[in-house]
Amino acid sequence: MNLTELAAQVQGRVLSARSLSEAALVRLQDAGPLNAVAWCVPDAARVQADAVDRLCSMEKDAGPLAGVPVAVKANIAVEGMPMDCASASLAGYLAPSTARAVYLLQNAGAVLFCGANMDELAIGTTGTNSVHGATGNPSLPGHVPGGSSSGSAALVAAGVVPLALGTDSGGSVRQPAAWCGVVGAVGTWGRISRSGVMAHASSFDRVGVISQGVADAALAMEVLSGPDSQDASAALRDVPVLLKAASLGVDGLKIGVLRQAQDMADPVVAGALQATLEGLKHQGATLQELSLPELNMALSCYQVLAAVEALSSLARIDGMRFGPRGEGEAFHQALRQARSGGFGPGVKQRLLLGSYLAEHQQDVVLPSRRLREKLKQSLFILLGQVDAIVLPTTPGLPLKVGEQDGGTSDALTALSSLAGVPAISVPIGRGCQGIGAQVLSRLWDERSAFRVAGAIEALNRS
Amino acid sequence: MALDLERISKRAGLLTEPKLLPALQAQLDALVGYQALLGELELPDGPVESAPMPTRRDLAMPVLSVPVLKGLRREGDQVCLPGVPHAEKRNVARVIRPTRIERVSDGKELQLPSWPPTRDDT
Repeated sequence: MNLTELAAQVQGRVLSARSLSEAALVRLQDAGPLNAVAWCVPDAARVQADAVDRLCSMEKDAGPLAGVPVAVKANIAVEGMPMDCASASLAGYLAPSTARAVYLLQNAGAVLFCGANMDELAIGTTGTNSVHGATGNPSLPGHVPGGSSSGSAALVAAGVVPLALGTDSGGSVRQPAAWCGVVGAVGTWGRISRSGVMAHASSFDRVGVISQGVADAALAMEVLSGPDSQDASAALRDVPVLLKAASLGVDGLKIGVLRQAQDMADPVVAGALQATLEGLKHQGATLQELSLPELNMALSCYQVLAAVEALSSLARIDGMRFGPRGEGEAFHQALRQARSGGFGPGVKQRLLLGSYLAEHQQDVVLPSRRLREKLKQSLFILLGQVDAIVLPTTPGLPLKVGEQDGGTSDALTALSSLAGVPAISVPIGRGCQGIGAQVLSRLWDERSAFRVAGAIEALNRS
Repeated sequence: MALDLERISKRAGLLTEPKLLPALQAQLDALVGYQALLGELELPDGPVESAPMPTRRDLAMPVLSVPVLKGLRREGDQVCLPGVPHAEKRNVARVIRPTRIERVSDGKELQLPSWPPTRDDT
C-alpha cells in the first residue's frame, strides 16, 4: 500500500492513525539492533495520531499524509527535541523551534515518531561516524547503510516508517537510499526550505525524502515544496504536481546515458544499470549516449568546496551556548578545547582540510569554483538535449562493515550536488541488493525525474 | 602539498592532534592529481558564484553563537563568556565593536579574536 492509499484509509476510518502509530512503535522496538534512532517520542506520536483520528471522525480533511508515521534526521529541528546532529559537541542541545519541513509534514497529517541517527554533522558516507554508534543496514546485514542520512534510510528499509526526511549535500540522501534498497529524492536546490536545518555546506545542502516507493517520494515532495519567509534561499515557485508523473511511464521520452559514469562503475553496478536502460527502451524511451569528460573531477571539486564551506558553517559550534564547554583561561583556548573534545575524527578531518584549503584560495579553491561552473553549464547543455539522465547512484556496491572508501561512493552523486539539479535514486539490480539508478533532470523539472524513476521502479517490480 | 598541522588546526579552532595527520596527508595527496587536472582545463573566466549567505533562520537560531562568522557579530549582540556557567550574570557580555565586548555585570571591556581567525590572528 502506498502513502496515498494509506492516508485514504485513515481518512475513511478504515484504519486509525493510532493503530498505525502503535504498529510503528512495535516495529521500532524490533528494529532496536539497527541503532537507527537518535531520539523517540512515543507519547507525543500518540497525541498527534489521536488528533488526526479526531479530524477524520469529524469528516474533516486530515491531509494527504493523514496518519503516516515519519522520522526525521537528527540535524532537523523539532521544537523541544534533541538536535545533537550525532555529535558530542551538541550534546544536550534542544531545538528551539520546528523546521519548516517538519511543520509541513505534520500539517499534512503525518505523525512524527523519532529522530534518526546519522553521520556526525552530516559529514560521512558510511553511517558509522555517530556519537550514538553505528547504524546497521537492514537490507544487507554485515554492510554499512551509507550516509550521512543512515538512520532515515535504515528506518524506511526496515519498514519502521514508510517515510523519512534526510539532508543531502554530496549524496547523503541518495547514497544511503541506494545501499539500503529504498528510494531517495532531492529536488532542485531551493525547492524545499532549509529553515531549522543545521547547515553543513550551504551551497550544497538540500532537504530530501527517503521512502519505500517513488510515488511516496513524489507525494512527500509536493507536501514539502514551496517558499518560506524564514529561508531566503527557498524558491518563490509554485508547488509542482509530481504524484501523477510517477505513473506516466517513459514512452516518448529521451533519456541520456553518461558514458563516463558507466566507465567509473563497478561491472556489477554498470550491468544492472544497462539492464535497466534496456528495459526503459522497451517501454518506449529513446536512449542517447552523452559525454561529460570532467565527471571524474566532480567528487574532488565537491570535497574542496564543501570543506571550505563547512569550516565556516561549523564555526558556530564553539562550546559557548551549548554542548560541553572547554577549559582554558582565554577564549580561543576554551574554544579549541571544546571543539576538539566534541568533534569526532571525520569532522575534524573535514575542518582541517577546509582550513588548509583556506590558504590555497588561488590555486585550488577558486579554480574549483570555476570547475563547478563549467560542470554546471556542461550538464545544463546535456539536459537540454534529453528529458532526463540516468546513471548509477554509487560507482560501487555497499561497503562491508569496517571497510572505508574515503568518500568515493559520492563520486556520481556529487554532479547533481554541484549543479543543484533534481536527483532521485531508485533501487535496481534484481537479486543484488544495494544498487541504485540515479535520475537527473533539469532545474525545477522534478516531474521528468519522477516520471523516469517511476518507470524504473515498475520495471524492477514486474 | 606541504602541511603545517599546528597552524591549520588553530585556524580550524581545534587542538593540534598529530594522529590526524596521516589521513589528512592522504587526502591532500589525492588532491595533487586533481590540482594537476585543474591546471590542464580551460576554465571559465569572470566572477564565480560563492556560497550563499546563511538563511535568516540560520542567523536567528540559537545554535549560532554570536562570536562566529567574521562580520556577523553586530553591535548590541549578546555573547556568552567561556569558562563561566551559563546561568551566572557575569556570563553575559554585549558586543561594542566586532572584536570588543563589554561584560554586562561590571562594564569591563574585553577583547575577542575574530572568528574564523584571519591570517593575522594566526
